[in-house]
Amino acid sequence: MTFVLQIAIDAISLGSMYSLTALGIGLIFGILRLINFAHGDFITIGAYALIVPAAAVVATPFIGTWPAFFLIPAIISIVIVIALLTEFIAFRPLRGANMASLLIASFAVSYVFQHIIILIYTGRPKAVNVGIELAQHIEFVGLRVPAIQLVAIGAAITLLGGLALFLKRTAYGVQMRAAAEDFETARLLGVRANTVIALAFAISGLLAAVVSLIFITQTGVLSFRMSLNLVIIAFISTVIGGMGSLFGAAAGGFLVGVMSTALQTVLPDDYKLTRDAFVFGFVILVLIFRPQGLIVTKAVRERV
Amino acid sequence: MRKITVLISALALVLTLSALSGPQKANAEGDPIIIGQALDFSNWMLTYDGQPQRAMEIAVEDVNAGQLIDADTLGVPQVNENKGVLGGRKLEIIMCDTKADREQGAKCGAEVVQGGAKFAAFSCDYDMGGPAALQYAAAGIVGVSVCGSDPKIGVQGIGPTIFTMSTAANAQGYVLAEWGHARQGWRRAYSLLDNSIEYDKSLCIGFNERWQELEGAELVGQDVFKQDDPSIAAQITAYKEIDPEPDVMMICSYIPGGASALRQIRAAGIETPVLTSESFAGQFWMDSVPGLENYYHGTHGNVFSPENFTPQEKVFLERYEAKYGEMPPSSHVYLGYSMVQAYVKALEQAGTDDPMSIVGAMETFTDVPLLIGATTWTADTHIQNRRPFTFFEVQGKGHLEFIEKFRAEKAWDISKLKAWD
Repeated sequence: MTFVLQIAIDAISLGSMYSLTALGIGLIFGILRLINFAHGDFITIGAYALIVPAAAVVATPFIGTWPAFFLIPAIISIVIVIALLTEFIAFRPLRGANMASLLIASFAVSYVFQHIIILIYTGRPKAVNVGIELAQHIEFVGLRVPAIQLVAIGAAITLLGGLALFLKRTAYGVQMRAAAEDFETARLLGVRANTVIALAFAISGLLAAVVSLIFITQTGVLSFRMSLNLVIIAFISTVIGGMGSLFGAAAGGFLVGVMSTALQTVLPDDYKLTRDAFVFGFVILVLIFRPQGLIVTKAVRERV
Repeated sequence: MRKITVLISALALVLTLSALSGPQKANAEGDPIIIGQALDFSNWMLTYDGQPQRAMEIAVEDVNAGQLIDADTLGVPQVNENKGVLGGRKLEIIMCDTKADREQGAKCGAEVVQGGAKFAAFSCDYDMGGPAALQYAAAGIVGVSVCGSDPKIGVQGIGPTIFTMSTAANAQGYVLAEWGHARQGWRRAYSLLDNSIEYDKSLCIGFNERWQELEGAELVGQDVFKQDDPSIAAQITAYKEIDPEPDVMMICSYIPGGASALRQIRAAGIETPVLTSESFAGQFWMDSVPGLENYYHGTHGNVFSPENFTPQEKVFLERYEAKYGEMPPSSHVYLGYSMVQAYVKALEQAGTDDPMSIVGAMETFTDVPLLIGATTWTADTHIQNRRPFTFFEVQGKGHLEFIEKFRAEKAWDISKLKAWD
């Protein structure tokens, strides 16, 4: 029983991380129809901001040494600024371009970010020790779980709840939902496109920064490709959940995290090597039987 | 008359010029011998390629200046005082950045071949170095991986002119297993495989195979993860179910994912001794795992413990520090210098830079004491299968402490490659 509970927490915490990343991607897709692969680089940049920008083999911590009270807002601010700059410099000039152009632009942005990191920090992975206290295991309802898993779950619940409240209860939230439903009509009704889009990028930056901090606390190593797998999984999650649906993106993230952990546990040794094939196989099944994802929004239905 | 004078003068000038340039053309032996490098100079493979690349530069400078640390002397640092090779021909390096990209690797391989190299280095890994190596093999030049350890690098996997300086990953698994069994007395082992590259798979295959042959040794569990997995919580939960706790956890992975896994394992309160191989190169990543203890690491050589340097290593490291202003972060550096030592020895033995003659000479190497250690190549084994490994431990001080050099009793047999490849 303890074993099953332990696996459940492992699964939910991984699902939380995927879910937060998927939400960042889903949010931008909902409004701009942009699949932002550079979202992973927002996460990477958040992690690299913890150390002094230098090519040295051994990294010198910078923001990483600050107390959490300053560290967390600093990283969040940096990533939000990067996200806003990306929108302003790379995506705003492409407003109205088709989905394929936007997708390619996001690959280009990602490529540029990765090479800037290589230029400044080199391609060598670097160690950074942040929040080791959170990586340690603590007693929790009779289980010994890493505190960071609980933090990840807590962060996901808080941010999902906060975002839901924001979208439902605030004027900007309503405008964002309107824009996600039908961007042109929303504009005709007085929703300011630039504000809403910038806001969406700022929120996706916030989500990326939180994932970044959870990720680096868990792994302790920086590498310019560190978020690649994460962003691919998150993208798959949004496909499973239903492109354009925020709830779908979050649910898809949880589902993939839970599925991945469950497969890792139940598959026989010889098949564990092919764990991801089962996950991707599930995606194919979803695409065959529910091509619009598990949760279909009105907006997507109309546009297809 | 004036026209005739001009004509004669012009003729004289042409004759003089051709006389001046004549001996150079006639003596092609005076041309530099070009060594190619299709390596990663800028991307993530830099961790592995970067140090051997620098060491090759030092070695080439040493050859040209007549101060190459002699490959034939162990115990006393001696130098080969010949300036250049084959009667004074200088060595020259041409380089191309593969950017850890397979396609770019193939382009670099072709570029190096076109640049006139008959002997060339390629990246540290079958997956990343393979494309350049295929170009070398197709052109019939000698290609040597600076530290690729997958046994498919060589005659069986790429072609008859392809070698690697490194020890086969399977043979690394052998030496780690034998050392843990004989010197640490471990009997119950668990292995954790990161199956994202061929090296890791071969390493764990070698370790698991040899471990189960050793007296009283038992493999009590194994699991897999992926380099990019953000969490290995499920593997940790499964590990904790093994009762009693294994004596040793062998991790077949590389940095960054390996360090990330180790951080999570230690944070989970698992203090089982951990054993790793060369892919956990160096100690630059150790801040990821604060207070690391019970960590054992077997690798090519020693760059961390000055009191245990061999005379050759000492001389080399002094030159390295003088040129680059720092000590190398991992012992992979020795592989680069050893590659040039091996080439010089093969050139002297063959008396020509013809690639097939060089291959023939290299295949006669039997325990040749290069900087990296005893090196043997045969007609079918272009990789090391029993070179001594250097073992270190980390016990809470945040750095590697030298234990000993150790040589496996049993050599890994390359004919096993056919069984699973």
